[in-house]
Amino acid sequence: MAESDTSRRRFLSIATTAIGGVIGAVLTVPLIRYVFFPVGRRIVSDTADAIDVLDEKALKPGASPTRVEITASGVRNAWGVADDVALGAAWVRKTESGELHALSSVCPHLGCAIDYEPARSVYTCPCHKSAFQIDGKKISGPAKRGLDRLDATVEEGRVKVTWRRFRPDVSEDEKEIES
Amino acid sequence: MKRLLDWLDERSGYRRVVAQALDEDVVGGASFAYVFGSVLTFILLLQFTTGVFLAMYYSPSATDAWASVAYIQDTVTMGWFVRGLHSYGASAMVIVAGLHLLQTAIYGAYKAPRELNWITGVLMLGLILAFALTGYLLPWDQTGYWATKVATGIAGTSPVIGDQLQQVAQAGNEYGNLTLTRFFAIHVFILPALLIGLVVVHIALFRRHGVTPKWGRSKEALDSSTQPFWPDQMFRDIVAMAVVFAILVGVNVYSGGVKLDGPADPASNFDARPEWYFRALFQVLKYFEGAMEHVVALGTPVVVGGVLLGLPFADRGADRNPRGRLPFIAVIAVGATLVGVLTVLSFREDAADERLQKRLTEAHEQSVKARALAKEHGVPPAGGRAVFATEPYYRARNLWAEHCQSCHQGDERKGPEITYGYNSRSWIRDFLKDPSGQRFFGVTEINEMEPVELTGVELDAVVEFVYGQTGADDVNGELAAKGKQLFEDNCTDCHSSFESEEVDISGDPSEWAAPDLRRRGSVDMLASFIRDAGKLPYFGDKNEMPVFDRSKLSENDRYLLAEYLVWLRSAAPEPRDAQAAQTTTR
Repeated sequence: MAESDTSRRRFLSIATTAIGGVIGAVLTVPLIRYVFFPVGRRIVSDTADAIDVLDEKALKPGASPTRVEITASGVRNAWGVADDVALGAAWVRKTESGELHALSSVCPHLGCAIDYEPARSVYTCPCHKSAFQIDGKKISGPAKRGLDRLDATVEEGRVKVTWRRFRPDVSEDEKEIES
Repeated sequence: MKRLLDWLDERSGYRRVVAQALDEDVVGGASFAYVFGSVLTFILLLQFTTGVFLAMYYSPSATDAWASVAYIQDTVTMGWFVRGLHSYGASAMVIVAGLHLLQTAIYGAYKAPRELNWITGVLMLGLILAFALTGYLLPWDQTGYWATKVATGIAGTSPVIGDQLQQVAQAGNEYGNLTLTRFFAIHVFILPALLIGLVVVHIALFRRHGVTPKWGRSKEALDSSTQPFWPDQMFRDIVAMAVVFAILVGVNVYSGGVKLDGPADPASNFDARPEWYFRALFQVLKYFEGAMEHVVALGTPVVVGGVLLGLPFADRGADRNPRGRLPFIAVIAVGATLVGVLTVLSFREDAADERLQKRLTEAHEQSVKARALAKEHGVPPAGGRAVFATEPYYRARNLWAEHCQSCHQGDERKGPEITYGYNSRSWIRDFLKDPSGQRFFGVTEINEMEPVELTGVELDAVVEFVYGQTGADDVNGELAAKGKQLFEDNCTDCHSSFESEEVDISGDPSEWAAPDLRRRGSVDMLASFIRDAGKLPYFGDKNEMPVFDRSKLSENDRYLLAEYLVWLRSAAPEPRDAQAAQTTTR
């Protein structure tokens, strides 16, 4: 093969690879941005409003906690918007002194839904067996903190709970999610 | 790096595989005539890539499909780019496949021993069109929905099995969730599997028989000018790929992505038009009626496919020179010309149809509005069409369109113009300066009000006073008080004075001079006015506006309208309205 042929083919090889690289880059960069679009965005919205959950009279001071569902309206879910969407659940009760107390049902370990055992007056997680006192303090298990307290108020005879999500599997100090 | 690759090669032998893939003799030398197959492979990979990425955000359900595509188009970062590449890529696929077919036909590349290359190629062309047809429905927008309905409707006219065929194709008695899941499964699983299978066979056959060089060269001449595939042919291939890719990206960026029509609406009148590559078939159907139409619709694809598949068996001579095969070249040329002419005719007829163009413009405005609403408010669970209900004052706007618009907007008005800015300061000022003008009472019998001749601060003051009656929260109290004094001095010959708390409405409606202006433009006043503008203290017997009592509008609806009118006062024409009015349909 002639010398000039060899150098020509070397050039063609390099040019071919270079053009291929440019095509690849023009395609890859947008695709990466496209895939990472949801990162750091509130694709599923929740609400900062206090949600009406039940009649205050249903709660007797010192009685077992009641499980309530938190539903919200106008919830965006990517392209959709819907009313009466369930965001999660909470356990609410009144203490002996009549103080309102609400806990998120999301286990602070890895997010399973917490149960309440009336016989022992403890909350337990069905997944990894974390156990919590009725006031939410951790008794045992892998959870790194107690159950998460939610704000609860009474307005015109109705109990209202403000729903929040927290970071799982971290200590009390690190659980806040900045939005 | 070298050591890592060595390690990999020792265990996998990949270098031999790569070498075998690239080491191929291109008999007669590399040529740009051979690039089409490689370009098709490239576009196919592009379609697979963009398609998989689109599936990441797409939802094939009748309620979610349009919303998810609108989300990709208008919200997801670079979503418009990915979707545009996929959609324009489909068009590129059809064009390059057509060029590939023409090139091989002219070179006589379908002749023995390459009949199977040609046959698998024709089958792949059919698959490409099936891809296009199924993909067109997936956004569940107006165009896709109506055009595909026509396509499955044509399938339904097939003899004997038509009804069953249609029900299998659309999965049921009507278009719905199952139609989409079926089209989606065909588009993303079945067709790619079939196409990949045929591509493998096609390329294997190609490797077995090699390229078909230009006719009329001796074997010695061909052999002596043979070049290797890598890099000689591959360089030409990748240059062609780069050109096609640059055109695709350019068209995509220039057009801001491919269009997305408004959500599919079975209740609308939409002009179904297929994608451009089916326009010829669409056009030819216009020339036939009754049973013949069905025969042509179903027969044309069969005939075209049959002719193409039969070509290698009809044109069997050894000579590949087109001059020696004129009848066969003519069939292809006439066919291609016919497709071209019909396509052009179809677009020209549409362009000349003014009513169609007007409907298309309206459809475009609807789509712009639907997409803006979807981006801003999201799409309700009822599906794409429900996005219109998320517009502020949606019900009031419909009531307005039904009961009020014909008299209060446009050239054939019978009452004062009411639109964005109604009862704003500038509306009031314009009215006071020319109450009997065409915008206001000029279109009615009412002509007794003289233009207000105050100027400067005095006019400002009267405007502010009248404006203050609407209950707006940005009223300049001092200026309005001054306006009230001017009003009492100049206007109370006709309008009731504000000196007393309430106006006396015990008078005779036939002698009532002019409406009372207390709380004029407030929600309560407007709701009451809409109910009966002829009662006192409004226009009395001078009134020309119909009564909208309970038989026409419930009290709730009247209040909705009144609130809408109040909202209009400070509302600017929405950008999307202005934008839709300017942009014509793509």
